[in-house]
Amino acid sequence: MLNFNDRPIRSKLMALIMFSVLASIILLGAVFVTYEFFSQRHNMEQEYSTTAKIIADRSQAAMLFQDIPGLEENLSSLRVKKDILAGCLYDTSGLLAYFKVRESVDNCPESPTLGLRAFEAEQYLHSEPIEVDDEAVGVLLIRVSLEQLYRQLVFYVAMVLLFILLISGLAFLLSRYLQEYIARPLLSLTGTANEVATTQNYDLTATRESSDEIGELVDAFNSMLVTIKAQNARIVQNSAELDLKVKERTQALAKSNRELGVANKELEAFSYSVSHDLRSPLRAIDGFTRALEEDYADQLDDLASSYIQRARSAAQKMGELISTLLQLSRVTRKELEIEDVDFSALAQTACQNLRNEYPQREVELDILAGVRAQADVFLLEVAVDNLLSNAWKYSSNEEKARIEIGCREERGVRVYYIRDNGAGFDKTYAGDLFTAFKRLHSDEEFEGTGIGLATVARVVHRHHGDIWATSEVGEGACFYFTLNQRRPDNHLSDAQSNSREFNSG
Amino acid sequence: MPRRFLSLRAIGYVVCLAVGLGLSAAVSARSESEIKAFYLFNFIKFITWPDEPTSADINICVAGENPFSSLEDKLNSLTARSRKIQMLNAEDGPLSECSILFISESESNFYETLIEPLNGFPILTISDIDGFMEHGGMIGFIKVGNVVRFEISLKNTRAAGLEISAKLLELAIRVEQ
Repeated sequence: MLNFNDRPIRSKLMALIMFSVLASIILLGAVFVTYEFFSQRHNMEQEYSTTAKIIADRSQAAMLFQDIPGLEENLSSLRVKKDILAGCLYDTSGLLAYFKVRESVDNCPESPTLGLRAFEAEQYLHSEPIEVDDEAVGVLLIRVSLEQLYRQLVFYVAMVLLFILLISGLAFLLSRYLQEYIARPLLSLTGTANEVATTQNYDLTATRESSDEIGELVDAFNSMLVTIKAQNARIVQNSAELDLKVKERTQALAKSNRELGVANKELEAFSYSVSHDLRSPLRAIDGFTRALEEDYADQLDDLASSYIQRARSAAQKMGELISTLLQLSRVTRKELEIEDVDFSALAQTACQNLRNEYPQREVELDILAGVRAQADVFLLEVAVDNLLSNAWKYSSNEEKARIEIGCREERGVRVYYIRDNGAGFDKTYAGDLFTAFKRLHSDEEFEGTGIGLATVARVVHRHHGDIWATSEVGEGACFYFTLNQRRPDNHLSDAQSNSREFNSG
Repeated sequence: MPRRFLSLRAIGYVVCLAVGLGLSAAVSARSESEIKAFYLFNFIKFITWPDEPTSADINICVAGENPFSSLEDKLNSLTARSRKIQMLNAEDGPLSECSILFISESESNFYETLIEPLNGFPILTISDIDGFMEHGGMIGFIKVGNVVRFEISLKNTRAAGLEISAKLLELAIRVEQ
C-alpha cells in the first residue's frame, strides 16, 4: 500500500472524513446492539420473573394438597407465552408436574436449582420458589427459548449494518462535496504555482476562492509573485544599466587608452626626434668650439679659453642628457625578448666598464656568482648599468667604497639587489626616487641627469616586476627589484616607484 | 398417583433428591388419617381468623375418638404463621379456646348439638361425617375412590367470620355458597 503521506490531498481528506464517520458509527452501532442485547435480556428476566411469580402463587394450594391436575392446568397457562418451551413444578421431594410446548424439548431436570436466572446457549432458565406462609414448599422452573431474542438481535445488527452502509454512502457523498472546498483552491494554487515554475511567467495570479487559511495562502502567494516580478524587473533594469555603464566605461577607457597611446607615441616620437635632432646642432657647437680652441689657442687669453672650456663641457653634458633621454625612449619602445640571462656575468661586465672608465677609483665589488634571470638582455643591461653607475657615483666620496650585487629568495619571491655604502637618501623624499628629472641631490654634490632611475623603473615595470629602495642618509642605499613577481610583503612600506605610468605591459 | 410427604422444614437452595426419595419411600403407604392430619394442618395456611392473635398457639381440638392420636406429637411440633400447633381434646377445655374443631366420625349422631352453640364463633369446623355441611359444618372430607378430597361451605365460614383463600376454594370438589 502506498504511503499515506504520498496520497493526494483529496484522498487524505476523504480518508479522514470516512474514517471518523465509520469509526463513530461502528462504535455507536456496537454500543447500541450491545445495549439492546442486555436490555432485552433484562426485559426477559423481568417478564418471566413476573410470569413465574404468578404461576408459582397460583400453584401454592395445589402444591400443598398435591393436586396434580390442578398444577398441570396452571402450567398449561404458560402456553400464552410463545417463547416458553417448558415449565416444571417440583415439591421438596422432586418433580410433580411439567408442561412441554414441543416434544423435542428436553425433559425437566430431576432436581431444580433455586433462584436460577441462567442464560444458556439457546435457553433462558428461570426458577421461582413457591412459598406459603414464608415456607418454601416447591419450585417452579421455566425454560424459555432465546430464539426470539437472537432473531431480534440479528435484526438489530442487520439494521445497524444497513445504517452504517447508508451513513457511509451519505458520508462519502458529503465528503466528496465538502473536500472540494479545501482541495479545489489548493489544487488550483498548485496548478498556478507549477505553471509559474515552468513558464517563468510572473504575471499569473492564483484565484482566491475562500477566505480561510488557504485564501491567505493564495494572497501570500500572489504578493510573493508581485515581489518576484518587481525584483525581476529591478534586476533586469539594473543589469541593463550595468551593461550600459560597462559599455560606457569600456568606451571611455578605450578612448582614453587610444588617446594615451597616441599621446605616448607623439611623446616618444617627440623625445626621440628631439634627442636625435638636437644632436647635430650640438655636435656643430662642440666641433666649432673645439676648432676655435685648437686653431686660435695662441690668440685667446686665459678668460676666453676658460669660457670656451665651459661651453664645451656644457655641450658635452647636453650630449649625455640627450643620450639618456634616447635610452629612456628606447627602453620604452623596444619589444621584449625574454630569455635566460646570466645576471652575474652581466653585472661583472658593467663593473668592468666602470672600472675602465674610472681607473683611479678603489671600489670593493661583491658580485654573487651564478645568478640568472628571465629577462630581455638589452633592457636588463640598461637597468643594471644605471643601478651600478648610481651606486658607483654615490659611493664616490667614501674612502672604502663597497658595492654588493646579488639575489635572494624572500617569501618565495626572487629579489635582486644592488647595495652600496654611499651617501644614501632621505626617506622622506623616497617617493620621487623613480620619477624622471626629480633629483634628491644637487649637481654640486653629485652630477646626474635625473633620468637613470626612471629608466630602471621602466625596465622593471616592463618585466611586470617591482622596484623599491631602502636607505638612511650617510648609511648607503639598497635597491631591490623583482621580475615578473610582486614584491614580498615585508617590503611593502619601502620606498618604491608609485607611478606606473610607464608600465606599458 | 404417588403421594408424597411434604417436609415442613425450610427448603434449602438445593433440594436433595435422595432425601426426597427416601421420604417418599417411607411415606408411600400413608394412612387416610395421616393425609387428613396433613390437610388439617395445610388448611390453616389458607384461612384467616378475625382478630387473630399473633403469638398464641393454634389449638386444634378433636371431639370424639381421636384418629390422629398417633400423630399428635408430630403435629404439636409444627408451626403455622409463626404460631405453635397444639392438639387438644375437645372435652378438656372451653371450645372458645379452639381455632379448629375436628369432629370425629364417632360423633356422627350428636355433632349438631356440638356445633350449634358455636354459631357465630370464629372456629373452623371440620369433619369426615357425611352431610356435615348441611348441619352447619364448614369443611367436610370426602373420599373419591381412594383419594381424600374436601368440600367447603362458604356460607357457614362466612357466618363465623372466617375468610377462606380462593386458592383453597379452587381445590375443593364442591363449594356451598
